[in-house]
Amino acid sequence: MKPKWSKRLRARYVSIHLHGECRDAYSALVDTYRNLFGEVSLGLSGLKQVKLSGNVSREVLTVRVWHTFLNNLRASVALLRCGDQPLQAHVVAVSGTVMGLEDLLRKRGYLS
Amino acid sequence: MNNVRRRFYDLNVGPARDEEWLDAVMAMAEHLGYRGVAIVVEDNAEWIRDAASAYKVELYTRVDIRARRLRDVRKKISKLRWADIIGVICEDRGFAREAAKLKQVDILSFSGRSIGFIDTRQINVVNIHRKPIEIVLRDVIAGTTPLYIYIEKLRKALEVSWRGGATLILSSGASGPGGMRSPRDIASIASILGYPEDWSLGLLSDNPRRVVGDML
Repeated sequence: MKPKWSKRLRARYVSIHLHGECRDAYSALVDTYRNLFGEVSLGLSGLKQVKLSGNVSREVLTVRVWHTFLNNLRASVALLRCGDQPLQAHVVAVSGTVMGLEDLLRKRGYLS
Repeated sequence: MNNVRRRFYDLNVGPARDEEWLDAVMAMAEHLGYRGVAIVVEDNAEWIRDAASAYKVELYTRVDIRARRLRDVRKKISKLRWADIIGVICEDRGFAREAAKLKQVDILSFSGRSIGFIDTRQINVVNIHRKPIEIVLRDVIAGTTPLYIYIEKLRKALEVSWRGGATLILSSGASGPGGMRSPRDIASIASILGYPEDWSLGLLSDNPRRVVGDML
């Protein structure tokens, strides 16, 4: 039997709108994910910050995650904390490709 | 089914303060993709309906009754006919079962420790009397209580509701726009506990919609 992680992994590019101030939002997201799901899940999730071309709105954070871990990421976004304070954030767009994500962000006015 | 455009509802935001507050809440609800929001009010405030008319989001007034005895609930309910939704905050297991039998009560609300009161017997009672159960995630979202403390209670509540086929609703219980979260992000909290995505999304769309549809 093959282990679960040996399935083909498909990437999901996720843009997150942060409604508050946080010096390092990506680290805050990683910390929240680690607190909720642990070090192993964090490692397997393939969580990684992605830089988009074009003028992206400052409050948008874009990450890549493997598709099987998308729900974990969404739960982390709902319960996101920056330091000791809860940070309001929500997922703006999800796509399987960076170009698709950029199109969605352009439609929603986050990218020019 | 996941591709169907869903209408999401947050049936517990408030209590309402002033017009500025309401504007911020309605704008945030629209931004997050909610179709309807229930604002907790303390008195019959007509200004709420007037102020919310500029937004696409449907607004419902809600009153939460906190009482120890059923007699007190009955007394309060008689004066609350103007409210769209009447909720009862359940802080006692026995009281929660009795409150489900009251015709005028629309929602039984559980938050924090009281989530543990949602058991098979409670589900049987609410099924007989067709009452929806609401789980308020205020403490978890605000971070005043770590998730691990409530995760077992939450899992059990979801499991008995899933098995019993009860109408379960998840709501943010936000006190302002800053406490509100995207419906899909809230639903993912149920998804990570092992429930199908479609069912989890129903906790914020189909189930509250059924409640709102019954009320009006």
